[in-house]
Amino acid sequence: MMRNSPLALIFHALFSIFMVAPLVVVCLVAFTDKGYLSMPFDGASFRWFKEILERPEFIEAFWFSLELGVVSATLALALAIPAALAIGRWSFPGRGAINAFLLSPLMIPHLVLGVAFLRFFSELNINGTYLGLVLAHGLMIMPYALRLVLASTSGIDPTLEHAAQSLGASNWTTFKRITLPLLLPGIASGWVLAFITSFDELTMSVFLASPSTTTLPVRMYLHIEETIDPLVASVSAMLILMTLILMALLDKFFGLERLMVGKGH
Amino acid sequence: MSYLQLSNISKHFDEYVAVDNISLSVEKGEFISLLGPSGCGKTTTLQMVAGFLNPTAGSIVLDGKNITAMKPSERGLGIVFQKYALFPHMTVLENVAFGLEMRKVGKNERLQRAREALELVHLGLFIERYPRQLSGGQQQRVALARALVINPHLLLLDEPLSNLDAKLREDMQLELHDIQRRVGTTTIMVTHDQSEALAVSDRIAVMQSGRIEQIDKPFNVYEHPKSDFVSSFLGKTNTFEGRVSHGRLQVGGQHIAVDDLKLADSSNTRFALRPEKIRFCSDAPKISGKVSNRVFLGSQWIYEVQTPLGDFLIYESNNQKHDEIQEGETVGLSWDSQDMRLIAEEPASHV
Repeated sequence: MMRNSPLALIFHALFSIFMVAPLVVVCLVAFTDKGYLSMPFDGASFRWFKEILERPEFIEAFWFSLELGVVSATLALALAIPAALAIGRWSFPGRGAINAFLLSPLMIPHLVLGVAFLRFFSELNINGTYLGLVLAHGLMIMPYALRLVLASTSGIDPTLEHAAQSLGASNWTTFKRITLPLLLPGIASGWVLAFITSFDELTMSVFLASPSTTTLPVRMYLHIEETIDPLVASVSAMLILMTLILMALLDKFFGLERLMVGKGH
Repeated sequence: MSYLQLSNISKHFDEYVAVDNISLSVEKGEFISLLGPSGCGKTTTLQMVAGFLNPTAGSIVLDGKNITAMKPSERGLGIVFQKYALFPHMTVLENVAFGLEMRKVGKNERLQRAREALELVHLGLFIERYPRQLSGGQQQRVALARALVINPHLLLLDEPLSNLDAKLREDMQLELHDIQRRVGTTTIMVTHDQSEALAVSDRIAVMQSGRIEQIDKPFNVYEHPKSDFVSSFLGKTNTFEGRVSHGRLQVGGQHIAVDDLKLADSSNTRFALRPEKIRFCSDAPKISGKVSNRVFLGSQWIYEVQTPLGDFLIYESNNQKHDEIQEGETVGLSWDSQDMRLIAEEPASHV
């Protein structure tokens, strides 16, 4: 086993503190009893958590973002899996170009995507609708899903499919019983990453959301624009808590390392 | 008609001819090896029989049925792949039962039959493990059980033992031979390892450059190679050229009696002589030479002797107390004339 030198340990410690510190600060601020952003050292309360319950628009926005994330991540995967299989396992003319094209949403600033979709959706008359947001999010998060599924296609030995066929499995059965289960770590991690990216997205969504289709980041942004009170901190703290619970559940039932790194042991 | 008949099979990849018009008949229950160096077309041939590649020309008939254009999943063949190709997300038992499941065999029966197949390969205790928890040899045996449990019309083995270490490979050779005899499945094995092919096959097809050079029983292929390539690919051989006149071979100023070979006089004749056919002798040696190197392998000694006919390789089994023959010593060599094999010239090698 490799031992870390003291210098490396110090570096890792500093790096971890740098990553976690903002989250800790937000969580602390959420417990203040003041009406402005401050540390709860001279008075702590659950005031701002209770405040969330008084604000149905935040809870609605949370459920909306959750649904949008699930639907658009699933849409993105439905496109990414066949694309990854084609790109990862076959060589055909235009393969590189198609790969680059499918990954191109990564390279376009979300601001530009937002403006472009706003204009495009106005033409189609779906601006501000749920469908519009799903399409825009699905497109924007597809490259994340594609990257991870693509990585796991290269880890599958094609002779496994030959073996299944020689044992009498049709092409579809081979896909269902052999290829898909082996792709699962890539699909699962791709879905999670796509979901998180959608759930988190603000810049593009600001252009596309309407009062009936407001995502949680947009709701929080609108709130901050009006007034800076610790409500955003308590909402953030709740999100952090839910993420931790989700991670713990995923780890318990699937193994986080297997899901994210794809080491099936 | 034979059980399996390949007729005038060719496979071209663009300009490259991987398999060049080969025909092969295999009888039911026979164990045939396709033996040759890499790139000789043996694996391509196997892939065409399996159905993973379509022949450019020719036909494959199995048990009276033309299977040339049939899908791999409909051919009913058992295949053991070089890298085992076990399904990593299934247990050993599930792997072996997969083919039966595809044949819609009921759950109880298929688990029963899978267990029996695993006992056949001595893995009855490992059925709940995953492939990654098994050694290479065990994985190979699971692959064999998975291929045999479906009672395949034909068993195809693609370099089945090449990923195993030397000791395990010898054990598995014997086991493979034994299992195939017991089950009686017609088998085609692809290998580049001559000792593997000699050990397990009923017949060996030696391949080179997309063609079959010779097909015969292992003993005959070894003892009566039809070409220089076959004789040098199967085992070691000493070759030398000389002039035959009046029943004597003249080579390098030496005269060797070859009356019993009944050769016609010729100016340039090429012979092959296996290293194990040569013995040391002190009276009336055919030639003499100087020992330049010797290696002890346990069961036998290998000597290199410089002779007027060229450097000779000599195998002596370790039961004749030849320990006293030292490097640098001059020794007499002899052999039976019948052990000298006349080799047909390969025109290509003289271009």
